[in-house]
Amino acid sequence: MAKLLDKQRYKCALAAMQTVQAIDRALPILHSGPGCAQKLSDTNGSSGYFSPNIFPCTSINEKDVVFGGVKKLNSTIENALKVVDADLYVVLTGCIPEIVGDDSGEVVSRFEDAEKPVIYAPTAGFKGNNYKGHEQVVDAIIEQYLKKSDKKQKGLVNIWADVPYQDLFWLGNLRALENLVSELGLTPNTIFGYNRGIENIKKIPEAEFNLLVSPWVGLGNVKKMERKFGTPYLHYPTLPVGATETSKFLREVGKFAGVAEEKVEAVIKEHEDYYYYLIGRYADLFLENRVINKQFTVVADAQYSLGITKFLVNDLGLIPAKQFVVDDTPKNYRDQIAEEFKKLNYGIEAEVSFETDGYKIHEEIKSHDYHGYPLVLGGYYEKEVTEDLKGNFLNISWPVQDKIVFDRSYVGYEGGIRLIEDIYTIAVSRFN
Amino acid sequence: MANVTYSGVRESKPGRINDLGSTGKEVSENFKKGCLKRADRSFAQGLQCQQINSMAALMSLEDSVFISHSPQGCVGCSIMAVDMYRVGQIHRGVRNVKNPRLIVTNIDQKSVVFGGEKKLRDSVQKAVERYSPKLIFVYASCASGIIGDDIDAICADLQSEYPDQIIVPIHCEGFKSKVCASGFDAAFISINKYILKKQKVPKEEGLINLFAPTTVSYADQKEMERMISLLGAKVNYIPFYSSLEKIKKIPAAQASTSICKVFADEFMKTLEEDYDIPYSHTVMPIGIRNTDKWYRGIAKVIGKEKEVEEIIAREHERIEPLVKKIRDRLQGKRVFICGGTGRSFAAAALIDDFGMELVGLETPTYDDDAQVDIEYLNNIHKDFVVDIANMQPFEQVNLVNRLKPDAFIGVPEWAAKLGVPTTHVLDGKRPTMGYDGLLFLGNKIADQLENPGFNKKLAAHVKLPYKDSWYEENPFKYITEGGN
Repeated sequence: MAKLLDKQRYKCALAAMQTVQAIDRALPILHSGPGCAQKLSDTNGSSGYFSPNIFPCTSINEKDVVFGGVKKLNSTIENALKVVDADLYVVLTGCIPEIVGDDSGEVVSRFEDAEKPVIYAPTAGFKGNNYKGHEQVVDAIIEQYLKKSDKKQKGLVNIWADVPYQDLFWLGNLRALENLVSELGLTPNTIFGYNRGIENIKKIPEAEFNLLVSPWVGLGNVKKMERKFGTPYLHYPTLPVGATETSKFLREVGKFAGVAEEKVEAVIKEHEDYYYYLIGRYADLFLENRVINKQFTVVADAQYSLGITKFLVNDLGLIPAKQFVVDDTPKNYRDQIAEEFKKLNYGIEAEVSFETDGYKIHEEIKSHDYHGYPLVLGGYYEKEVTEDLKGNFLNISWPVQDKIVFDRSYVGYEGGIRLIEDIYTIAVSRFN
Repeated sequence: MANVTYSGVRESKPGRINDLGSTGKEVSENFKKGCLKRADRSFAQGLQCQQINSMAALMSLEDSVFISHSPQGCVGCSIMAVDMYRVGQIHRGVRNVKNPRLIVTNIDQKSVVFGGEKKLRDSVQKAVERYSPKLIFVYASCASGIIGDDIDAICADLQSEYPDQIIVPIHCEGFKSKVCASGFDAAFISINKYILKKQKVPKEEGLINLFAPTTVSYADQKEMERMISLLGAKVNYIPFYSSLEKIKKIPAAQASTSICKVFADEFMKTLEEDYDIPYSHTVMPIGIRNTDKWYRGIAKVIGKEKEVEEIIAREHERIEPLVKKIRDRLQGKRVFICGGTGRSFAAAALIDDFGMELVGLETPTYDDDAQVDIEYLNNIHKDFVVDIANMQPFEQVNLVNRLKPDAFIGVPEWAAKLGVPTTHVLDGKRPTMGYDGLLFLGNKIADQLENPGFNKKLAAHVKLPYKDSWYEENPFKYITEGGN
């Protein structure tokens, strides 16, 4: 695990409460210290049906530290079932119960016959970050709630992408991926966001295959589903942003699912025609290029760092300076991800650094020659360093402070256009 | 009671309780009889922990590094502090806006087994190398407390290694207190112990320590400074947007006062004991009555009783016609209030300026301070519900649904979903306090009542997440005896 964190880029495993929150009518129950829900909450679209202050919590005190908190956990679950109207109750454990040794799993097993399902994911903060916590929650659903199904639904595809709320664009991105998959004549199934929820969770074992769109997050989950349900998976590591990557994505998914090539190409053509119509209208802005320079840096988790680098190089013709992946990617995935950064057009390769220490990242940005004002896409912490360098800054990764995102997305053809809009809106509103 | 060193845990004070459902009359009588007992809940929703308050209290200090000796989630919400700090700098005209420097030691599985000392040492070393700050604050966490890291001893050792820095450990382990304001006390205890060290300094005539938490806006700071300067005194505004130099000046002051009732109240007692600085501890200056009371309090300590009466008379003459205009819009409206200890009672006093009627009050703790306020409120209002709760929205919506107030003041999210017009009273970016803040706040409440459309629409389309049966239950059903 990463060493000290200076300008932290993620939260702890217990922040998987946000993964639960993203499932319609699923309620996290926290067995943790008193402030955990508040500390792990964001103010970005988080006040829906369940919000962090609503989450039941045992708020462990000194007495519980000494004598154990299982009694309190029991009463909290029991009463949450009575008071709060949910379809799925997910107990998450924080640091304290796991250090003092509460058998939370045993307590949860007492609710096997409850009216609504109660499951449990160990998410102690000292064991991992919220990317890992997210996987723990999905694992808990697979292991404790779902059963193998003999029935398979033709064309049904489970789609998995990155971590809700940690990824500001999670809702829009998932919807955009669904739309792309639908256009190939397949039936997408996702479990996060409006109107998905428990009914979609139940369909997971019936899918023909799992589609994982992420460099590494969720790979353990789809492998687990392959073992338990016999569902094959397609791991597509690059978040498809803009025309080049989205067309590649459609071809690969189409091939995996056995969709007729003509059909795939027809979908691509229709989108690319419109995409380049839009690009063409603004080509003068990009070509005269008085407002942004050629070199850029992305400071984000693996999915955005990789997805946006590919987009800016392959679609917009920019040159990558060093890219930073800040999600504490497990070591065994790093080589493979670094390879992806080398697969850019015209033999261009992007250097990538897996770095969680924000200070070092800022020092590297400061010492790099961007041949002019840099373009930095990153977390809110990069605003300060980019301003010092008089560069253009776009806040695309956690932490996010200067934008509101309802259901916008950077995925697909339209997502690429949105990202260009965002970058150039910032550039043209400045006087450099 | 013997003279025991105060631990910083607010519940440790005799007579202070946390969880209770009652009414204004009942709670006041039971308090007098000494019948209030500490309780707990068998079902509860998340709180705010004291570590957040310890961090927030100091986050805007110049030349500081903040080290959270914790796993990676404990500064998960730091972006809110970053935002507050940046906005505060912009309001104060700072050109090169900075982020606070925050380091997390990242206690992991290994540290849980072998201790986190090495990680803490490494973080302090990096803090010095990278930022060469004047101050390094080390915050304890639940995990560091339970695994038994002795942050005092480690920091003392590091202090000898880094003589150019002042290293300040703060004991704000979340599980120790349910009252997040304990975190303020923990921060001040450490400031006294590691920075001021009971050393007397020459007094500065007319200097007043004005303690203010992060949630006080720059507009409010200026209003407080204006009021105090009218008394011919000068303000040392701390610790928000201040510096080591200003902190070191604390013992030089002639008197102390605070903007918030639960901020530096214990510290001001200590300052009197250790440095002979008298203080005024009254109320939060929100609304005419409270502003007067707060103003008279500090004036008395510095011997300006006569002058303050003249100023108050002048201010009243200026402000009262304007308040009347607001009163015409708000007279007779029934209000439910929810807020922290300082703001909830201040808001309750404020509504009297506007002729509104209190029907319910939710506040985190009850103690002799609260008793004074409740007795005052009992004289003005008919009996009203009192919920001693730190948040607990499930109790609140049950109560608001029963009481059907015309207006709700405080944390707005849940009452809004019941269609009640809401006004937030905790505004760290805009005015709330003093004579001018009152007008801003009053107009905000009245505007909200005139157009409740957003909340009405929200209520019509968005459901709160409780079962229908919950609204039929006793709202205090889950309060149990025998708290921690």
